[in-house]
Amino acid sequence: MARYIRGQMKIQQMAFMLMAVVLFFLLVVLFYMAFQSRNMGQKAEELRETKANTVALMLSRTPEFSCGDFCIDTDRLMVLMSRENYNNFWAVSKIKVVELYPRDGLVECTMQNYPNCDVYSVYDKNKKGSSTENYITLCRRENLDGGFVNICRLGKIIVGFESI
Amino acid sequence: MNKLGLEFNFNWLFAVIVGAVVIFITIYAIGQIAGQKEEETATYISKQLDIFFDPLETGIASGKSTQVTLGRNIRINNKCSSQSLAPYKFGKQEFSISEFTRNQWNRVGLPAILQDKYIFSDNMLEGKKFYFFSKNFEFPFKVSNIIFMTTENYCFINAPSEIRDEIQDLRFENIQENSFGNCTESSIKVCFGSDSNCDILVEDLCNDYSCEEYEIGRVSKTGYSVDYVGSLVYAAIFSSQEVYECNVQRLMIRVKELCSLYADEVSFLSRESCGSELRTKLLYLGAVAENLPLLALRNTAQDVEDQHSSQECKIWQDI
Repeated sequence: MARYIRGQMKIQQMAFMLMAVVLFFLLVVLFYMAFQSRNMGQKAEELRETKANTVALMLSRTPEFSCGDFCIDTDRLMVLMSRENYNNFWAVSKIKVVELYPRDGLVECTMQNYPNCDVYSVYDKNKKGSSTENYITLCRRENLDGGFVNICRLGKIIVGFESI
Repeated sequence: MNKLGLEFNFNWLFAVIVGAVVIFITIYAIGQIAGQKEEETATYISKQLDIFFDPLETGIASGKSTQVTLGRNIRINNKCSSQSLAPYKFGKQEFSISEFTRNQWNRVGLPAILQDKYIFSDNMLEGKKFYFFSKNFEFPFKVSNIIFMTTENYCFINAPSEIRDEIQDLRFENIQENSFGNCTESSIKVCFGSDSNCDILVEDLCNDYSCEEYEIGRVSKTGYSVDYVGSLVYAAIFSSQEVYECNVQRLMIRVKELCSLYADEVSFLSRESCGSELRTKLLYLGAVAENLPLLALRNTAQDVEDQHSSQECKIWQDI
């Protein structure tokens, strides 16, 4: 009887030992996975930020915005602002263009107040995150004395990216 | 003695079975983690590739070229879809990467999905050295920057002066302009005009004064031929039929959207007395862009350009 109990104790001892080994391995794997996932999140965020930077530089060269290198056509922006088809076209969460000088007091641009305004919200998905900026020239056309002239101002383009 | 032996055997048997299970799970987990790591690296490379394409946007330059040499062999899978479905209203391209390590191709990473880029290449590229160059595609306004991606060496025979100059100016390492006998054995021979024993034949379809030599034409490869307009000649040479046709369709979706955007801009500028004839022509081009063949559309695009150049208020001219 005593031998039988001792045998059972040994089996229990071994079972607990094996359970401890399994738990130890599980903890190591969990720790590793948590570390990896944090690392992966950081890498994804870095990639998004780099992407937003390159998009901020590149947007002024795309036909939807461009009036030349680092020049944005604000007449076209007014039309583009109402188009939902472009909301997912560039892989960023927000595109905003702001006039820096001369300022009209940070007035949001609408069909009624254009061109006496400063802020053009192309789209904003209202996602949590940060943004990156790039300085550009903002130009529009005006018919003065029977001829078209380009009126240009200093501005910046703000491109937002989602954070993890 | 017998009982003791049984107790010893059972203990060992129990330890061996559970031990084997633990070791198996550990090895399996390590394999999975290593596989995930490889997949993660492949996904990271495909996302970096997406970022790498952005600076290739040409702006006012006529073209840009660059090359990338990697430490190990990779495969780039280029999958294109021209279906205009939300959220990809302009079609999409998917790039996925697989690395060659430990004498085998690893699992393919998650694809980078691009909506605003048009990358012309074969369906799958494999190698350590990748050549990229980009050109503007105008129809008649700038529609987008188009990017060409290759791994092969090409030899252009009897190329027109414009293409010859471009090859020299952009200093392509993998494209040489030569006569037939001087091409290297391994290079893909691209003949302009009629010539036998060429891998790719480019025919000029410009018959009148409305176009320049080789501005419109047809590119024939083994088993198929495709029509091109302007800078799409490179696209037809460097990419597979599937990728070419899909991307041309995607470009036409963009033409349609830009026509509508510019037409609305003309209306918006009507307060400044900006010509309204252009609006009608733009709307017509937009309406037929996705339906007519490329060469037939070119005449409509030319009509839009003629109207635009004749009016004082310019819509898509650089300031």
